[in-house]
Amino acid sequence: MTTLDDDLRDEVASTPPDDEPDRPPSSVRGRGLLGLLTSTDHKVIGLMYIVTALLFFLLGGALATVVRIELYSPGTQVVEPGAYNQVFTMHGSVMIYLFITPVAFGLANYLVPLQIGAKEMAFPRLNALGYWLFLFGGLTMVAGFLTADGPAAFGWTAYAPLSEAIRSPAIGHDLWLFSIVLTGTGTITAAVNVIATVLAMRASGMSMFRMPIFSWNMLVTSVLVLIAFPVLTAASVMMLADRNLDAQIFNAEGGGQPILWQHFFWFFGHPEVYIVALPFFGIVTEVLAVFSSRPVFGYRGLVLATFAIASLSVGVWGHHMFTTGDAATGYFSGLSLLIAVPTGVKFFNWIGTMWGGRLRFPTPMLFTIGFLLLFVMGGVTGVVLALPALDFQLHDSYFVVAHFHYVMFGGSAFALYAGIYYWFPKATGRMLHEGWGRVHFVMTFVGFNTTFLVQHVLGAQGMPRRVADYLPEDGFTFLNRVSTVGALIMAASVFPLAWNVWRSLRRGEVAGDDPWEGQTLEWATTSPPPPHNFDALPPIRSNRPVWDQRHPTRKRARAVEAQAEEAAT
Amino acid sequence: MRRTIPARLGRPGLVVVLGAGLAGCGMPDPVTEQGESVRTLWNPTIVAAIAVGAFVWALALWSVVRYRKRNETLPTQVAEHIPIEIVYTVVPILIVAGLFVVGAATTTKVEEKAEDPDVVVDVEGFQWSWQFTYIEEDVLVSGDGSGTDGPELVLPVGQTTRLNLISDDVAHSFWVPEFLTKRDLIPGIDNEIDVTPTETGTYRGRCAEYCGLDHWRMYFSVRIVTAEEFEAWVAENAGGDPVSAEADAPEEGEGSG
Ligand code: HEM
Ligand SMILES: [Cu+2]
Ligand SMILES: [Cu+2]
Repeated sequence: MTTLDDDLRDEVASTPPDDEPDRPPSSVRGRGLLGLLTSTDHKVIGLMYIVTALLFFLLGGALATVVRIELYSPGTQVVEPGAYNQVFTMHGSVMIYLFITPVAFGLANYLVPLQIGAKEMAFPRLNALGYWLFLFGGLTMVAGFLTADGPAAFGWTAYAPLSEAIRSPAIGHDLWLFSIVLTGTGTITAAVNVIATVLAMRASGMSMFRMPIFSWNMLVTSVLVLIAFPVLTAASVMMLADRNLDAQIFNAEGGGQPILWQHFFWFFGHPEVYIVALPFFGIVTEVLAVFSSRPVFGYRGLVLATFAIASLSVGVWGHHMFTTGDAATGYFSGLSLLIAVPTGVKFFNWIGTMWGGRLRFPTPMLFTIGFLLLFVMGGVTGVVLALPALDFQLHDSYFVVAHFHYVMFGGSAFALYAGIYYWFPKATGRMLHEGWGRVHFVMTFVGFNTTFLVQHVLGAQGMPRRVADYLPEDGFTFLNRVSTVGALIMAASVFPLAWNVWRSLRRGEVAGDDPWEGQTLEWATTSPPPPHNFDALPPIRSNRPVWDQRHPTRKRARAVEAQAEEAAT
Repeated sequence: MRRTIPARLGRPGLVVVLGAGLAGCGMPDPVTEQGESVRTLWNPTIVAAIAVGAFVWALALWSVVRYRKRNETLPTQVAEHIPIEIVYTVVPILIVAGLFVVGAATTTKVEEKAEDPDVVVDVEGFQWSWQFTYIEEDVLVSGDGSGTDGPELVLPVGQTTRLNLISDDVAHSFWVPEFLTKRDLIPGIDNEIDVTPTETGTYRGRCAEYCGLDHWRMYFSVRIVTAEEFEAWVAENAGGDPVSAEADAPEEGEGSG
């Protein structure tokens, strides 16, 4: 019998020294399924994260389509109210917990070591553990569909006391809560790893202020995860105790305090909004710089803005609770408005990067422009909602549904698409097809706006969210139809993407190391990168070493500058 | 009375879109004093929001058109410009500071409570209907959760009514879109709002906080009447059995599973 220690010793013994780059390191134990299942290679785990999350995205998208079809007309179309409530709950939950959060950590796993010139993540095995917690946690939530009473139906926010066992007895709710505990722990694990990697594994020359913005943002995101997720995880354990052990923590009849759940939840929930935004801000920053042939404009300001957003984001949870009467309106309104400032600064960084540049428009750049146009709309409606007097009318209405989809779909998911088109060549060695990429972009952009623009009006007029039906005399029918048609266009937009990936994996144009004239270190290695990531690193003297290498005169100029700087200090 | 709802709300969709886009920007015309304050804040705010959005769109689209790649010369490698960076930090701070001040003023106005309200009603939400108790007047109106009309809340125009919002089961939210406000009913928390109706008429109210299976049809209606009509209504119903909630037959049974 081997012990863990034996294993470790073997591994240390078999790890090749640095000067033998062509021997695979022990982290890749073999090929095929077993290789995948046992891999601790950050690139393999990163890709598994991304693919798994995208499969959950497909599920979430299918559920969204059911929601939209049901709301096409008054009366029952495809699902009765009970089933509708399960469907919208699972849509929101799958999208937030199983798609957009994990996919960010998938990208981080794949990219952060490459961007900072490291061979591996700091804790490869912990990394694998994080992935498996995510996968099985996710399956636990979705397993609710297999139970007799169906999956959870208390919304993705699981408000008490509706989530207490007497109000929501189905076992699907317990599965949901277990899933939150498991996936939450997985996310915390991943965050610890990213932080350790960024702080400890940077290549020589890669100072903090030479890190690519994506890596910066993942660092800050991970710190936010450490603040936010333990609270959600703990609250879910408390709710499980309420449901199964009669703990009465959130039950007013038993002396508990239902509103406490909302405070716990949103203390997680608002930082979560930035956990699923900052990584994607990172993507668009990189893409804009590369396709404008420019450095990131205002790099330091951008990093500072990220810090500001992260710090403010832990103090604004009450803006989700203005209508509860249990959140100080002045304080939370003020801080929430303030957080718009660093977000606005980022917009100017992005536009400043393009301004005066030399812009190319392959698909990643199209999705990035889409991001800029759509995310700003989610931003300004967020400012509107930060005014309590207006929030009293708009809260829990379709205005909010429109707002957060502009943020999370028009913002994060568009940026994710940009990232997929941008890094696909790095990960697979082949380019995605431009023509299909454009079709995908146009369909998504048109479908998205058709679905969600009209929802602002529906909400302001009086349509509440989370309703299985509405009445003909409400006058909501026409705009709901528009919205449903848009959702069908978006559903169809999956096909050009899927086809593109399928065909390009086989016969896509061969990418080469650096197809986009990249600037950051991941473009300094082969596509796909070898198990040990780099055969040789270019010198790192700025935040875009690959650019410096491609423009040697500038590089020399910089080297001289750097020397002078060193001499001066 | 309820027949007036379709007449009010059943406008053809196109008119709604155009009307909303141009003039009203979506919110219904307010029928309370508090709602009027909200509307006074909403109009300029939404215009400012659209203006900021349009400004960013213009900058982004301008860059796209103006700076698209035309030749192989490298662009200047500008990495920062401190004065501009300061400007684009300070200007947004000023804008949100302004918004904060007007927003806070309106919030205070909307949340203001009368010293001595003319009418006090306990509004209790339960899965899935409402009960309205007029304490002084000794009138009880209760819904039974069937159909899609719900019980009727009768309010005198021009007088201030205090609504005590309470729930014993799960969280609900009291929302009359024409009041341009809503507030939650949460076990363990006592909420109250004042409303001062300015116009007679009948409006649909709804539960806005997801509360389980039939949340979607947790409706009620609000009938705003003159002071005399209100007195007559009280006299007719005081002390007696609860006012029947579902006076009208449910309009459709389907989808009410
Ligand atoms: C694929 C296109 C999508 C469509 C057509 C869509 C549609 C909808 C609709 C109509 C609702 C409201 C359901 C209701 O209130 O009854 C909803 C809720 C929600 N959506 Fe989406 N959505 C899409 C994508 C996304 C994405 C990408 C995310 C996040 C990354 C997301 C996150 C949510 C959340 C968190 C809710 C709230 C669920 C709840 O109230 O519990 N959606 N979606
Ligand atoms: Cu928030
Ligand atoms: Cu409800």
